[in-house]
Amino acid sequence: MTENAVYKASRVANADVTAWLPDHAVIVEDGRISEVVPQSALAVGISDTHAVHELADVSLLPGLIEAHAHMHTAAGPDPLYTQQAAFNDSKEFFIMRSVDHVRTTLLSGVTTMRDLGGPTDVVFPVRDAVRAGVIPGPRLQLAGAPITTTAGHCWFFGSEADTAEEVVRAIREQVKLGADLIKIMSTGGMFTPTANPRSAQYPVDTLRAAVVEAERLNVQIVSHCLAADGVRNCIEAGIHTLIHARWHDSDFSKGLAYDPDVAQMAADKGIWADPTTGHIMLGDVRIAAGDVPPRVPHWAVSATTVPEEEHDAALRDMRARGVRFVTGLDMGMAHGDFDMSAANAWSFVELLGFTNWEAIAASTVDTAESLRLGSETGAIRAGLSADMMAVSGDPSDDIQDLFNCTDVVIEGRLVKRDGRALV
Amino acid sequence: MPEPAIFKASRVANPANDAWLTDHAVVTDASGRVQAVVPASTLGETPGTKTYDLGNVSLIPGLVEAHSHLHVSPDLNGFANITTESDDRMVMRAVGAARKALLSGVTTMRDIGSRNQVAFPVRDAIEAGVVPGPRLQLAGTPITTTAGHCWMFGTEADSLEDVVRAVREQVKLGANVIKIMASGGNFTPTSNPRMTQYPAETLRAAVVEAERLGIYVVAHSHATEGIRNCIDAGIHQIIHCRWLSSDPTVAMDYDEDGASQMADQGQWVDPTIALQILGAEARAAGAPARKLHWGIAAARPTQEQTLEVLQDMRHKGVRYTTGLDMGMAYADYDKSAYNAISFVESLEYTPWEGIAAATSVTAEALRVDDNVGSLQPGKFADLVAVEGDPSKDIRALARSTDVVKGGVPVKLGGRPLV
Repeated sequence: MTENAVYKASRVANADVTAWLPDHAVIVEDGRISEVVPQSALAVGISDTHAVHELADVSLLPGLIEAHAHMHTAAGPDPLYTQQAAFNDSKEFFIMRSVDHVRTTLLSGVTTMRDLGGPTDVVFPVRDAVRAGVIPGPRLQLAGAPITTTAGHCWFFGSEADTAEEVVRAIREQVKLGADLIKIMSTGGMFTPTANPRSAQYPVDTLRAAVVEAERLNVQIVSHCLAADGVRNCIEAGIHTLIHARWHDSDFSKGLAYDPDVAQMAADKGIWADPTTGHIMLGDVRIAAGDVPPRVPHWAVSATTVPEEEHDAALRDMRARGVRFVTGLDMGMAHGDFDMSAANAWSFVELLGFTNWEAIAASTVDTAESLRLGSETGAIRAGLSADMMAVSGDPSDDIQDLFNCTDVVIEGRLVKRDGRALV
Repeated sequence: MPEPAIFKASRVANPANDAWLTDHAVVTDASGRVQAVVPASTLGETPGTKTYDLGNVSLIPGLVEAHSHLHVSPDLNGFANITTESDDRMVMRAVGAARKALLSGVTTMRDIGSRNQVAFPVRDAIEAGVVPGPRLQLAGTPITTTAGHCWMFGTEADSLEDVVRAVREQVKLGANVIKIMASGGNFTPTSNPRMTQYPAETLRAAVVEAERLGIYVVAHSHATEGIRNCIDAGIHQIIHCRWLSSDPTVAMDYDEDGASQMADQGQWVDPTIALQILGAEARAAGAPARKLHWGIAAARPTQEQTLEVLQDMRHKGVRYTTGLDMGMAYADYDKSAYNAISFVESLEYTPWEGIAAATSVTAEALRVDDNVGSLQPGKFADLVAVEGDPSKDIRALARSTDVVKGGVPVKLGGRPLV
């Protein structure tokens, strides 16, 4: 139940997510933030009309926005298990995994989650159940089945469409089923043995037709791209967000084919990128610690694997040219654990040169803007939905404090308090 | 995966669940079973073995809940939901229900009536570690007559031959208990809770078929007629057992000889009386009352009459299982402790008798007592710790702090780990 409430904390993120307001209180009414005031300015007797939650020495932030999940897949440290589960599990198993995963995600502080690809008979019923209050979960924005070529990347939960006409029809079908955005696979990917991550799956004309159709139907379109050819096609076609944004050369014997001029075009067009560095860093940390076996590269990249540092250098250059980044963990893939959305911000600081506050803003207000939800969520600001998370410690000092989620409020409902799940 | 561990507590239930062992430790092995229960002081250095000092708590076997319906919503919308919701939606409800039950301390749960498309996939997912939940013993869909009690999620079978085939079908799908509706029920407007749904010979055929296939049969009955048929048929367990008269102007017609026969035949009863306490507490807190079925609206037994009969049956030797009827209005999935609470507060059980009923006794009735129900070497390390001392205040059972299933902690210090 939503209640009118006051949340008091030592540190409350300001409306721009750039600094703390010390000893402030957030007043929540009818599920929305009505006011953010110094605690000393709270009306005497407010506890007569509002539940007062003394969160004390915590950092109160907007709920995290996770821009890239696959709710039905198994995550975990073993890529083979994750892949086999995605190939073989029943619809019921996918649904049950999803129920568990969206709850876990919410309780880690994520109040909005965008799912970038899952079976339509799984993700839409799960979203509907969350909206109906049957199961707990974040606000969900769904792509439904990703659009891919026959045997292309993620064909086993995708919508296979080879020609421009088929792609346009596939977009219409996903919108009809309830998709909030469109995901299209413009190159192959690591998860799919029958796809080639170094090559484009669609010519620029087809991607352009997809963009035109998505815009006609008022939904965003984002595209998976691991190859320079695919990145270029996406940018020329005006795809709204580049997922992964990796620049592999189509020649197996070469590394990257980064093109600064193309990157500049992305910046000039206002195209966003989801660099998915969080789950890669989590994997690297675990592999270095000896906890899990090293990755087995896809056949198309095994001849010339590219060190992560080279990818990161390209990403940093893209950012320097003005490309803005969203926080997408690729949840559900190996090391994309559903309670690890904070790894996005961590990796932005560690690998991409973000300041702590820039990374916190990326995880909240920036990604909300990219998801076209900026007038609904992403900041602690009067008028927005009361979507908040508290962490112990101060993530502006140590970004890893973002992992220490103690309290979660979604649409004015308190779902976690002092580390304890209430749902 | 389980790893060897030690769970220490101020009070540990003895193997008979009738007294505390003070300052003891449950030692578990890599297969998730109990290796030993020993005084904590006798444990030497145990390097490499994970030790959980649970502190000043009462550590008892995980609760055994004998009566759930995993797929419904435990509120007054239950009937509307069950008639309109998709299987997918019910699977989603069941995932939440299974977690809730486990975290409250239920480590074994018998579901006696959920759609096959819900119950079996959920069990498979729990066993595969995809979602958390208790060990499940399942009936799948209950067997009922056309338009009979719970037809909305049941297998409709009218003739003796239909019933035998329905038993076989449930076994084929993976059922390890059969639920059959011997009378109508409150939940189903098109059924009559005062009348039997099957003649004794049909129920007998179900028992014979189930026994042939190595499992047992439980039967729902509110009606004396249905109870009589269950007694004659040798049904293994009777659910509710309310002795409602077939005459709608007469509340009850309790048959003492029938009760004695039931005791002589070793037939168990799930009296589902915790619902009375939970319902009364919910209504006192402002919840609306449940609508009374037309079949019992005219002459309804008082709570005192019902309890008096249940006490008499017990004195005659009938044994009771737990059975909350989880999923019905007021019977939420984290309320299994109210089985023992109601036995103590309403049926004059001692607290230890209540604790045993909620653990070892019901494990025996479910035929799983070689694996669960008491803290003994060789059984699964299924444990629940509660604040306070339930042998003094049975309501302490509702305050679980720690839960361990198969040697793996799923809740510690009040915090869920799943």
